[in-house]
Amino acid sequence: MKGLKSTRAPAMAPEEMLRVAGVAAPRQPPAVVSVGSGKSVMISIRMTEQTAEALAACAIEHGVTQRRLVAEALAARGVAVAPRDLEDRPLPRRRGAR
Amino acid sequence: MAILTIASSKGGPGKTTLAQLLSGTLAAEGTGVAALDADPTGALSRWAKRLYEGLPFACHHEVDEARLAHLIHRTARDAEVVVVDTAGFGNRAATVAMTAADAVLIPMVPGEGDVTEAARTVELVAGVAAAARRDIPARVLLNRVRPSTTLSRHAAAEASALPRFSSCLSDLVAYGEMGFSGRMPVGKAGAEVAALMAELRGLGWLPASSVKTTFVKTTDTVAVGAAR
Repeated sequence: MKGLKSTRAPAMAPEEMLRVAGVAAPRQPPAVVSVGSGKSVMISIRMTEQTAEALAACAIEHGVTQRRLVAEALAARGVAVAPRDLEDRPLPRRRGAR
Repeated sequence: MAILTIASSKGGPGKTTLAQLLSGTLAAEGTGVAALDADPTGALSRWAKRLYEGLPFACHHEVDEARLAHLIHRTARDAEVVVVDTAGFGNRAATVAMTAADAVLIPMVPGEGDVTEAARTVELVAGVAAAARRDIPARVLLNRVRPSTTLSRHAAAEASALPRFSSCLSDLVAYGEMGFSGRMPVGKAGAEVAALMAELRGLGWLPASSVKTTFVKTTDTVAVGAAR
């Protein structure tokens, strides 16, 4: 435009766009959900013994694994938990077990 | 520089058609336009790459909200007008595109669900504007209108409380043909698009005058730069 510069404010910074969008609509999903590689990885979280015992007791009470209990709680909070993690794997057969 | 986001939380109201019309018409006028396709279907970018026959314009496909934010920021530095097409459901990329927008166009076809979702989209833009602490105007564009039908009149009346364009797009085959021919519509459809462009300029959503542009062909897109 004959070298004339615009006096308009520059476009919003990308970080600001993401922050504002997160404030305005915090629960919206991504446009495309990543399915990941499907590989199993280890998650290790340090917590107090009281919480660990409560988790174990709750799992026994409901007849599920602690892993499934945690996965269900995460899913209830809107975390995109893989369907496979919401199922209990069959217990491995032990030598001598009936 | 103007960033126009085309959004609706409802699928099928004509967002991509509107993005095609705006991008192709602006390119034909000599305006440095770039289109960003934030819809996972990639309909706009596919059309621009494979079928579009008019003067070229840059078109990029990006659905990740973080990468889209950076792409909008980069593209807005060079292009006079950035047109962002979004997916037809509430998603982060669409909200980022609304956040970045100077104005939001919300196409709506006659239908109960369409009126409801158009209203929701207007509300979402208002929420985004409040969070961004700036004005982001939004207007509903009636699409696939058959003026003689009770349905179109009723839908227009139902949407009367929403901010609306006085222009509208009729239910014309020419718009559908554009999707296959890659050519901008002429005749009645062309006149409707011209009226919409004039209204956008009247609102200050588009630059008043166009400039000559130079186009540099790249691998899969066409980069646009304003001629000096």
